[in-house]
Amino acid sequence: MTVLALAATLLAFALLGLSTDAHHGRRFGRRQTPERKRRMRLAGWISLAIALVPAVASRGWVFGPVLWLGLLMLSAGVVFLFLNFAPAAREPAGSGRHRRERLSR
Amino acid sequence: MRLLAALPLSYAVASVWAMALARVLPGALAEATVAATLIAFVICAVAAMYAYAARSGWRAVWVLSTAGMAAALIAWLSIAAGSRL
Amino acid sequence: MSRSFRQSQAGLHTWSGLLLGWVLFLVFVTGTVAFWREGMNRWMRPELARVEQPMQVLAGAQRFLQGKAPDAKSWFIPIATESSPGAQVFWQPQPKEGEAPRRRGRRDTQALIGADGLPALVRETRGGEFFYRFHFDLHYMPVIWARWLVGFAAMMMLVAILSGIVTHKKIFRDFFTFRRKKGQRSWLDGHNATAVLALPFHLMITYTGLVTLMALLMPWAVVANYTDETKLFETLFPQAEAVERSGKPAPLVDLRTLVRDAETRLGGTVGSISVSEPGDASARVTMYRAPSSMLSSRPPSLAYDGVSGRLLWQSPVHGAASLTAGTMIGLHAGRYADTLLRWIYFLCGTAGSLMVASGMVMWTVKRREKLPDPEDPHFGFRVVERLNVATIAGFPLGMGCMLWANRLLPVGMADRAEWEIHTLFLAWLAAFAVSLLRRPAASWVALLGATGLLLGLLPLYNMIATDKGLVAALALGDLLFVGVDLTLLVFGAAFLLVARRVARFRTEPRREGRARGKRIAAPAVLEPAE
Repeated sequence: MTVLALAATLLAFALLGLSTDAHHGRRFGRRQTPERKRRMRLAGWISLAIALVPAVASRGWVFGPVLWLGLLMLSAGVVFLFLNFAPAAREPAGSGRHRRERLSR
Repeated sequence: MRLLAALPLSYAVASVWAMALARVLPGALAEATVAATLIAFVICAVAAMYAYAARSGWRAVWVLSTAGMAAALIAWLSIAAGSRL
Repeated sequence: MSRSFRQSQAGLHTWSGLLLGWVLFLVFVTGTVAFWREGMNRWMRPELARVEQPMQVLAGAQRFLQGKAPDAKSWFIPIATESSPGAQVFWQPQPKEGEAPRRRGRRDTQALIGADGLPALVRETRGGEFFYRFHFDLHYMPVIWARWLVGFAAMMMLVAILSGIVTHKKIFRDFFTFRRKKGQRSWLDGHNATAVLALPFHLMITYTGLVTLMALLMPWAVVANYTDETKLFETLFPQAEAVERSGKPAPLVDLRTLVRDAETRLGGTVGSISVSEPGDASARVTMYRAPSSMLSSRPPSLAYDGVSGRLLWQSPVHGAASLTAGTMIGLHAGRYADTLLRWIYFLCGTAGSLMVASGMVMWTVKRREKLPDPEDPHFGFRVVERLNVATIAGFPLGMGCMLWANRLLPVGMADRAEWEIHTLFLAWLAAFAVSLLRRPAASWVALLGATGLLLGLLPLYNMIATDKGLVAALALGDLLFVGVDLTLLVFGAAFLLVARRVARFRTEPRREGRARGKRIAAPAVLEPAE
């Protein structure tokens, strides 16, 4: 159940992150249509909301929301690091080391 | 000026509001006391933000002092009256 | 309105952050480590075996205390868990005539009961407790001052977070954006990312941090309602009535049976036990529910007759406001968190430390470009720049040295636990000296690099010198030691990478011009803080 919630939040942030113009261009190699952007956004938010269900189901109403928020931050961090540090098709990889690397454990 | 308003004054305002709220909040005595304290921290932060947002430093001092006085009045009346509202 | 409001908040954000950023950094770093308080307690005593049967430890603790302090005023026994080193028991001797009651936790009235139920003879160390206490008590200064300082810093932090949100409304829109190798933009993006990614955590931890200190910081509501504040504490933290020693000896009930009974009644595991007047007919046993089993930090408790084992008293249910406060403190301390959530806490704390650190560095990065002569900055700038090096790079160095001291100081040394801590501060002092004597560019590299080496090499030393090295611990299935050592390796590598990056950066020509600096509104108010 926890894994399910984590998967849903990861998916959500991946969608939200890729729906930004910069990352969409970098990852897919072309500009996105406004229509597609809106749909990805919506799907992302829905996925976020859905993640609350397995979180509450596994931990109950007291700890479930806490877990949900925690997973939210965790997957936002993972997606952030992935989008910004994983090599993309159109960019030379792995040269920009930065303080933030300390987070990437 | 703003720093003066932001630091000691916002804390003072939060403190008197803590006193006033502790007197007027409904519920058991201990409950009202704890709730007033919890709210006071928010008041303190908002007051500090206001001190910087106000049009001038003097205005910040003036408004915050008035807010503090109002709370002090409530607290004083309630203590003078002797019973909780 | 909204634009100028945002600008005004930018000034507030800058100055509230700068004023206490260094204290905040220390508080954040030690608080982050303190999420592993129990784990560090164990990791810093590598010779101890892992606790597998907590009840065996409890029985051993009772046996030990019956032999050592049979007529004490009270005993305090925590229940050992798999992550704790054992049970750190305290006892309080009967107060003598004309002598003030002794504080709990003096060294001659406490002992560590190990996994086998016998008092453990191990290296003397404060373990993870040091990081926990330092987080709000600091060190070498009166506790009350320290708490006011930390509380003040927390208030500033709350203001900084709120004003930061207002200032940078855009952070939510571009929060996936990170522009690499763009000088000031990169710092700003990094600062934003660490702030926004863990924003729920930052808000929660700062506000609840204030709540943990509320009795000290905001006593005014209490003053308004109570003439005697002990009355309030009696309501908030109810206790069974104190007992008088009758003088008639009577054997104490087996605590293990009471634990089993209490766990069914409390609906969760028991975390600690206190016994008043053990060995007397009036003995009283109080069982507290473990904070690891509930969100609120105000655990319900049960009081039993210490001889017959009969239930005498049950703590009443908390009211809503008290429960809220208890829950906030529980959220802050994260004692309820299982391993996954504990890691999330730890990562968020790390993000918070980076947020504070990057904010402090950004202050200098932003201003350097506007200096009339960047080679010869004014005094205030130099102070901030060097204090940044000394704190952000120096304190982790001290922590690294402390962990080494924990491994290297001779076991029989007098005041060994204190010297571990002195090592931290001596190393920090040395780092401070380095940052004063050398140019910041050089001392950043030297201190960060040294920290990286210290942290990275420690797991290797553990592998050679202790029997809980990475490989051995993995073979034993002792994941706590594996986890700490791997974390040290990762952090060591990260420090080295950052050091290398800083070293390279300084040799590159500065690319960003003044134009870029202008895009961020200059803080409106400079005078009052100078």
